[in-house]
Amino acid sequence: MISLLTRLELAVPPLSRGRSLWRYNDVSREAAWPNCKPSVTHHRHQFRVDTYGIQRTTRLRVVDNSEIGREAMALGRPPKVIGVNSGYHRKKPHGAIGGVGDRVTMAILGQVKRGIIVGTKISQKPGHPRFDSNNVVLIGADGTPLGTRIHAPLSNAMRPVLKAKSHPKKVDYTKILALATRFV
Amino acid sequence: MLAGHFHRLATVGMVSHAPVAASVSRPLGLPSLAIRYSSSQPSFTDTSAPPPARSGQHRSIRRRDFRFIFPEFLPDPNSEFRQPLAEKLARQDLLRRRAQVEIPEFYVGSIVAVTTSESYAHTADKLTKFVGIVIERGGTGPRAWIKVRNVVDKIGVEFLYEIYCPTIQKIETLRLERRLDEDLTYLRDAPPEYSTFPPDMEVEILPEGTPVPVNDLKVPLRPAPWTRRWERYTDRLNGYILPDDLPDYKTSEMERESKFLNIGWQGQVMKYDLLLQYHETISVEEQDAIWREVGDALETRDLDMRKVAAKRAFSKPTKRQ
Repeated sequence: MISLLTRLELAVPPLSRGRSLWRYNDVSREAAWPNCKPSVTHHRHQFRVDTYGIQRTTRLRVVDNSEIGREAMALGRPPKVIGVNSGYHRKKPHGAIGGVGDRVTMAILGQVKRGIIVGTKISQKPGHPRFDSNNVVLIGADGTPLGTRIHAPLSNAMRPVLKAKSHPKKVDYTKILALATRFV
Repeated sequence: MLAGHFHRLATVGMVSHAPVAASVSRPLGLPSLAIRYSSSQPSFTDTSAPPPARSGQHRSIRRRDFRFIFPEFLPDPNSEFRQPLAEKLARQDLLRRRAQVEIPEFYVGSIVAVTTSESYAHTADKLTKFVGIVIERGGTGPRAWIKVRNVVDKIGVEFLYEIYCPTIQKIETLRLERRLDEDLTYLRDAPPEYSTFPPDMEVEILPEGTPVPVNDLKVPLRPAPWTRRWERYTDRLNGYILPDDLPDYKTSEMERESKFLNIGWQGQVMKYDLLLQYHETISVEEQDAIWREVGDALETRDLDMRKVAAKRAFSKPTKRQ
């Protein structure tokens, strides 16, 4: 006969379903996440606002060695997203949400530049890397990268994505892959 | 179930400095010492009591440590998801996958190398290897997962791997150890040197029968802002040191009204609610039945893996000329 105390000690912590707070069911989202914004709309219309998604006003980190990108990061004025060219949530009131491989329009040091997202903070699918920063590579109007080297690791899963977004007569985003120094 | 959960969230979670909430939560920390099941030493489960006379019973008690080594064999305790036949079939699936791939013993805090087949990798064998520390482990059955973290080129990289996924070719435990917590997500908010591991790290071999070492490293956190409010987790996580100046967050309306929303004495009695504990855990009798079913197969597979590892480590002596 196993005593009750032993039984409680032997109890396994439950593995329940849910989001990232699954291990702490008694902590609310508002209490856990410093950037959680309470929704003021009706719950039917509310949308989970995450600082990890790439939307308008998100600050990014330039990871190539283009001149304007290096200068902006050195001055502590990282680029701010003013438009996301992505299909996901495109027609929602808050605008589109960008992921790896999507093109963004940014305001950087008073100029408007375009870039390709090469890494995100938001939790990813199995086998896809999640980075500690939202990384971007600057590109020109014709899709060619402005820098000559990328000093952040890229994911192997990005290759087919960039290939699919390229067009033989218009843009070639796979040039970004040639600049990378490391793949994870 | 969901409604009940949310009710509890809305009541308990609003208390900002809540020792009540802490006591209600499940014990996160393992017992301070887990003995490896292959050892001949008595495990921590029967240190207080003398070992029973019958050897079969002794083995079943020794196998209770399996819940830390193979947690994915235990089902989800949520009664909505229980399905005894499906669980039994899933366990057989896990054993079949374990026969194909070496899935060794590791814990949260161990350093592992995961080799996956990646069809887009530009290497000859189409394989990629990622080395890092296990910061979280979860899931039941074939969907069990781990999160592996490392710092590559000064940028933190994390991978979520489903350990029974067919694309996974090999998992190696480079350093077998445990940390003070079962959730090391706070390494994201710690300086990068605490989660940096060389990609060409070699296997550190422990002597046979030694207990799993516990690394009692306390990680100092960077100044805020963090990804979570770690100053609120001090009652359940003890692997980090908070900086001296804590952030001054603006309190929300719900927090300010928490004294009205507080459930008061109900929160204090929740830790005595045995039925709550019963519904959130798998009982020992059920666990013993599961280990009776799969324990032999797991032990023989582990023995085979050890033999192979010993054969690999043994270098054949060559005759001197």
